[in-house]
Amino acid sequence: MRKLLELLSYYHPFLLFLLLQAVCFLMINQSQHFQRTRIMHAANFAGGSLFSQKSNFTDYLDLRAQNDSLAKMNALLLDQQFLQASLEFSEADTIRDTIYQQLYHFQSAKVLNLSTHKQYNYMTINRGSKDGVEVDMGVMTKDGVVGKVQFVSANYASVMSLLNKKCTVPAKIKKNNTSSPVSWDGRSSEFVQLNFVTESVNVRQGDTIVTSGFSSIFPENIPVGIVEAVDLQAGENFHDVDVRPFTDLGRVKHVYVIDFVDKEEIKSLEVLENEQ
Amino acid sequence: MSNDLLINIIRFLALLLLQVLVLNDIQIYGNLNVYLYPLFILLLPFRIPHWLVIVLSFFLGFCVDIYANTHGMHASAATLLGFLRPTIIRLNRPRGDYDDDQYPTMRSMGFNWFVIYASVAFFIHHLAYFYIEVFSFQDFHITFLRVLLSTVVSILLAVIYQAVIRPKQ
Repeated sequence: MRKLLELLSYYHPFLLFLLLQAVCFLMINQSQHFQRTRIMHAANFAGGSLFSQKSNFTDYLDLRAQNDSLAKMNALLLDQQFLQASLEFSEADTIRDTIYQQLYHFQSAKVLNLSTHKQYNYMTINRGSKDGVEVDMGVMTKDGVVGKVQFVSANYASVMSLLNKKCTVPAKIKKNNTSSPVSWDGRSSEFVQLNFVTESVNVRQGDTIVTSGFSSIFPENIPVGIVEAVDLQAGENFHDVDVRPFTDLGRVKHVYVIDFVDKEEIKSLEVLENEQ
Repeated sequence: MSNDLLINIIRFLALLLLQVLVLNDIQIYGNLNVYLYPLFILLLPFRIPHWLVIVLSFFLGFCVDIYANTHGMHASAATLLGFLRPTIIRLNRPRGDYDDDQYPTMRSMGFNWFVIYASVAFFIHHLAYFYIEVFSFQDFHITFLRVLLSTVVSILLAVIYQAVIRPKQ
């Protein structure tokens, strides 16, 4: 057997080449279908631990910027707390209804590795199924939307960033509530695109895009980005809209994973709807 | 011979780490990246069997894939380069053929030979990788521009790498 293999591989490098290419395309194909083989799961763990070593070191390099950003976040939270307190005081004797229930649970996480130069960009975060992270949870920073969780291992998760051609976020134009999904065409890592905006819709440079809340992934009104360029080709039905994300997707360090508390309930309800 | 083995193991690890820890984070004009790891395939000794070059290329590409989350794309491009390497070497033959004690390095073969060799090899690798990554010919010219620019920067880095790190073989 070994002799045979040696003979084959020595005299027919082309066969070997074809075999290995087949393996490669099998792997590429697997990833296209959102499923990873077990071997990739194991590999993801190896990758995760190397990148946490790297992150341990590189974290020191931009401590100042990160501190500033966290301080701002603290200030914001403090503001909200006071606002909330005054709200509670003035409405102390009204009946609390479901609007005041907390529907979303936020969990902070650290980004260990990220990319922006590929067609399908991911970031690895240091929270996994042990911390309750599940596939399809939304991920944001204080500035705005980052992406959604795509794969989860015990201690790490990979997040599909906005700069991933497979990532679609339900969004709307803030000023007139026109909903339209945001996705990326893979050309420039500075802009994402707003899709299916018909020519009758009034959209201008400088308009703010926020999430629409039409999904159990993101709450409503989380900022996404600002419209940078609008173009309507003659004869086309849809505007070409470039949106600059509020979050600097190449420099994200601290993110929040959003867990929609009633997600399962709503999903099971929608399943019933579809069965009708 | 054992010296060659040691040098190549160290080079494998060094280029892999350099690629995944440093170069994958460096982006030029937002959408352009540099891939230096194929240099390992280029610098393998002349007399190494063809099948071993292919297997090593695949393995190196696979390792880069693990850390770059690219699922077989680097492995595919690297395997192609490994397969075509003997052809490139044969076509780029200097006058009077190769000597037994020569290596495909800049130090051993000279600057001109190495630049031609590296240009062809990096171009093939980058062409394969970028088109596999996009997986369509839709924006053919944009992708092609990325291939060309990336190739130029990679060759430049390969020459600098060779000028700085020159093990005695």
